[in-house]
Amino acid sequence: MKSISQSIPRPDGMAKADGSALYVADLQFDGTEGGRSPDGAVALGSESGLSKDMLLGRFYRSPYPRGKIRRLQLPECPPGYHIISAADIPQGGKNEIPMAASRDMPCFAENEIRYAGQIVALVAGPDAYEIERLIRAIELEVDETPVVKNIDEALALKGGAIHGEDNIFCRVDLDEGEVDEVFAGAASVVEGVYETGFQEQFYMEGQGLIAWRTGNKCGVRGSMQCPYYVHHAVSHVLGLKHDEIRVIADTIGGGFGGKEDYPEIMGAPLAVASWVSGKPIRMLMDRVEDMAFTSKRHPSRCVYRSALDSEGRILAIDATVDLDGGAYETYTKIVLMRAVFHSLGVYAIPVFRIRGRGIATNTVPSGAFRGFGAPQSLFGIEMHMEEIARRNRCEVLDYKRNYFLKKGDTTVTGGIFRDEIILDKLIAEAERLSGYSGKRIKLGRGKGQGIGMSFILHGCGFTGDGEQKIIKGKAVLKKHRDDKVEILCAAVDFGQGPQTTFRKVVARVLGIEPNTVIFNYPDTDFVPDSGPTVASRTIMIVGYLLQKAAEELKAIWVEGEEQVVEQNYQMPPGMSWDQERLRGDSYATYGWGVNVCEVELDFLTWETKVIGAWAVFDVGRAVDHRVVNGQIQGGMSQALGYGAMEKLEVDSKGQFRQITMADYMVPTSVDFPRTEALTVDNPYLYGAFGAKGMGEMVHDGGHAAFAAAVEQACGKACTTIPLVPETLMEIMEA
Amino acid sequence: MVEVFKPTSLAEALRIRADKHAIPFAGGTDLMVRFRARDGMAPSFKSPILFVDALPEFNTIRMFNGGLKIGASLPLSILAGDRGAVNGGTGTGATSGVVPDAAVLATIPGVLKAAAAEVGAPALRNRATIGGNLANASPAGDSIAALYALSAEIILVSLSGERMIPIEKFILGPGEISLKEDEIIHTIHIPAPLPDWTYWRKVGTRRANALTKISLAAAASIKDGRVESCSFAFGAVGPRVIRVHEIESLLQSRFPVVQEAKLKEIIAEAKKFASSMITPIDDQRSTAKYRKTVALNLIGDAIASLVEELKLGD
Amino acid sequence: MIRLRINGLEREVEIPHPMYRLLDVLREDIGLTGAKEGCGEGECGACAVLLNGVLVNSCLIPASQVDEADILTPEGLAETEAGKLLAKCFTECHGAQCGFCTPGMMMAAAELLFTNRKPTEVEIREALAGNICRCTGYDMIIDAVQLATERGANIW
Repeated sequence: MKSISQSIPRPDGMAKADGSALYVADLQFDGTEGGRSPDGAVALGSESGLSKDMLLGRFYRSPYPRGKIRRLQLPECPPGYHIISAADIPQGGKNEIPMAASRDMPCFAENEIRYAGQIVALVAGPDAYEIERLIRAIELEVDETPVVKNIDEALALKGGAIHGEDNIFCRVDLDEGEVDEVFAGAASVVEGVYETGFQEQFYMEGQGLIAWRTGNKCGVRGSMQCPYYVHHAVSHVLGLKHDEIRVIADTIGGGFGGKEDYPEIMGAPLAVASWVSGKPIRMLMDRVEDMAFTSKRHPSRCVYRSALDSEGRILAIDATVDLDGGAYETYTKIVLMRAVFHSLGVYAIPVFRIRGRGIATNTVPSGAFRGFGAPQSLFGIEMHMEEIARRNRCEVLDYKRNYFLKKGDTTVTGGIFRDEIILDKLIAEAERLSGYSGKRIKLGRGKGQGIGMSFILHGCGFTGDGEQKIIKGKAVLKKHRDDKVEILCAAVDFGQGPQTTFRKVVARVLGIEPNTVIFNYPDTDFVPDSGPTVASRTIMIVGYLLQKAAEELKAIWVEGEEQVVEQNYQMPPGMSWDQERLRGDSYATYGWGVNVCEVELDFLTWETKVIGAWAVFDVGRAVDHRVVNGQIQGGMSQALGYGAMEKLEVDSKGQFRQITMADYMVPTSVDFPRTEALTVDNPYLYGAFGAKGMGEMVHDGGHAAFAAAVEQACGKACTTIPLVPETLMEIMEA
Repeated sequence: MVEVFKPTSLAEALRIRADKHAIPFAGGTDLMVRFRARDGMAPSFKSPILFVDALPEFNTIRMFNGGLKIGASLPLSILAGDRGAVNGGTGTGATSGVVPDAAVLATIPGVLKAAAAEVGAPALRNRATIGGNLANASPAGDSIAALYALSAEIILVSLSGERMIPIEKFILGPGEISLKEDEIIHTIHIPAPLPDWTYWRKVGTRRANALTKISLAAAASIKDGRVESCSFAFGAVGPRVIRVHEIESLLQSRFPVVQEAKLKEIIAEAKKFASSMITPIDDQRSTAKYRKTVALNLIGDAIASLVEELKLGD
Repeated sequence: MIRLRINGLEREVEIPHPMYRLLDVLREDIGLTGAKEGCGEGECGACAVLLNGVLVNSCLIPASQVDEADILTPEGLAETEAGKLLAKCFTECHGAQCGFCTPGMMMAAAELLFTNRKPTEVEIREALAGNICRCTGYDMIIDAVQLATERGANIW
């Protein structure tokens, strides 16, 4: 029998290649009341929000960055037009976007403005020109307060606190051992400050949703990673019951986390507008609005202090991890948890104190982006280890090896690494592919060439007991009378491959062909809540539920009968978590990886050129080699972009300066070479066919490997990314 | 609603231009972005539009008295030598369908070819034209910097005749050109002699499909191992492309001098001249300091390359 | 009223204003939604079509300017042998992930192969430099074009 890893053609590939796949902007009224497209994949008709009287919707966004709202004057609306604001939230609903445990972000700004571009009102109607006129006629008066543009200004309480007394949304603290005592007795201390910038997800399809109302039911459909998150947000804002809401995910043109949170922020006000007006409304963001006002990766500043003994060995680490959460807390706490829980990387450090803070500023609320905090703190620890090794005049790989985690070690939260850790195997493969160690010695230092290696671990699935307590994922397999098997779950394929891998998992168990398995985009009227499509959980958690369901179905299979099996998530045995104290197994298991990057530096222009990139990962087992390779190639490209090119700054109003595709630079086909990639099998008992989550860790380490290579090439410490030529010039001339 | 005109002859085009003051519109790659409107709305053009891309005389490239005459609507893909533009086949290159003479294309100075090849990406170059790049008058316009280095002259036509103006006089500032309301950019003239050595370096925001942070275009005519004439033009370091004539006279008077010590001295002197003339700004793409430092660094690179060329000629 | 030959069919379209974009004609009036709007500024290539056989960004072209032109869209390409082969290669090589850039990539790849039957990897990368993909890091797209080069010896 062929290995499950052997790749199959993507089932969603042909429709995407021939242009027939329908994204939210492509949906048109087909003259029907309801039903689905001939292949069953797309919900059509006015029952599903597609009718000929669909209105166009646009937000009115605050031009002011910060202050108390003194007056909001809405113009008279001509017939057929609607202006919706906080006052229109129906009774029973709340003017709040529910995001994780936070409720601080309003659906429509009501009392205060916290960032330029904050949603104040929504204008809907048939004609774009009239909508534009109405938007211009809205009068907003704000008593302006000085703008807080970054972490420093926030901590200095510029203009008074934005949030609470101290601008700290949330803290995550970890302690192990007597840190102060160890530092007092240390032979030396190495300290470094490591900073990362904003990063734009840059999905190719802008945000887009349709909301509609059918009787007493509210619908939202479009481009989203997490239909049940949108469902929940609509329920909260409108005060509707579960079965009064329908959410449909359409084909989605990329997410990377950017369509985890934003469809709630956009969908809730859109649902209010549709609910109040009774009309279907489509809202599509153009590229500039999307880049200017949707959530980005949290900028970070990590300070690491290491106490060393006289031999240069690490005795303790004292670290702070600060994230710029932007104007509202939204997902900052859970991003911060992941950042802090990954802040010691792949190293076993006996004594440590880590202080994590999510900080309020007047920028767009930071949000989800592939890696979710880990790319920030892993950059910090990896660059810090480079620095310590340099001080010790020691090859960094040799130095790092002394601290590698192994099976049975304790996690930073006092849990246990229960599974085999195969870093040595991964390194051997990375060495074989890249020739890292030989080149590292040969290239010298400060001579314009360099090679860097970084290490990654990534906790798979939700942090702590989130899967058990919050998500409670459920997946269903339905066998129709014609014996066709249908997957019913809420996982969305936004390019990362469940359309391929889920079919393979189910088909393999049942001994059928993957392309006979039905797997439509989720529609909450038909699929259970298997959880959001985030957190490297899809193949490991939902895929595993489907594998178990398929096994059960196989056992009870009766030809010609409709049969339904359901599987509910269960925490793997032995795992435990105390959310109050943040103690225990913060993740069920971990993915591991080694990234290598080789660069050349042009001393005339400080431009860097990546001439080699290598990546070796432990993903448990690849359910499809090409799906996995696609994640690695794409993730490395994003991570290298993050490290080298993707500069995103804010201006004096806290607004982004790079808001067009001409100004925000993502990699093109000529910017980086192919990543030579490999996976090493290390199957995980509770993942589909041994699969662990891997969609995020491919973005966790490329930037650190790049920065390490640039350090060697330029001979100076590179502690800030992106390392654009302007930054490198400053570093080298300092 | 704006009026649009599709003249079928130059005479008709000039008449419309004179009567309506319509904006000449060739590839539209800059204009469509500048006047872009939101979904469901028309691009926000205020003046009538005059499509000039289809007129054959705007799409030619030919030798002229040892120099080159390039029609204003010639797409950059042809100047760049993009595969689709010159290979024939199903894709015949620029959308005008004009396939110029390969012998003429071979004479395009390296600096112009290289600069054109670094504008945008293939699909954009298939529409973007050299005249449009000029009219946009961006200090970061790549073909503009190359044309400065080539001492190009711009031929403008109107009902009252033809006017030829050096590029340095034609470009007045960012987006500002010396074009009368009845004139159309007709031809770009690169006067003889075509240079023996050219240099092009664009430092962009990435490796392709990028905007220019700073560029240096240079050209020289070499006779008997001496620099007979040369030019150094910097892009994106001021409100206009800046040609540093002092460097040019320096090199003309001092070459051939290729001893290393002398070379360093010459480069230092050249940098001094340039330093006082280039006045870059901070913007979302780069910093003033970076632009200035790199511009000065590139001078050394270019002069070293010129010296190599002189050595080869020995 | 303008006339275009779109995917081999003569179409007459009443345009609402003179600077109405070719992309809008295709998507809104003809209902061909294969070409996508990724940026509206000619930077991303998602709206690429062939205009008289040449690769262009349809978001930057006023339809009235190209009256009487011949347009090939992703849907039209998909009907051809070349398009079918490319789509198959993209599917097999996983050159499409989210798929939003894919129709534009197909157009750019087709134009490349129509003019250069045996492109090197460097030539492929240069030909696709105006088509931004955020999912794949491009390598599996390059694989797909290379596979189509090999398999399509008689087509290109």
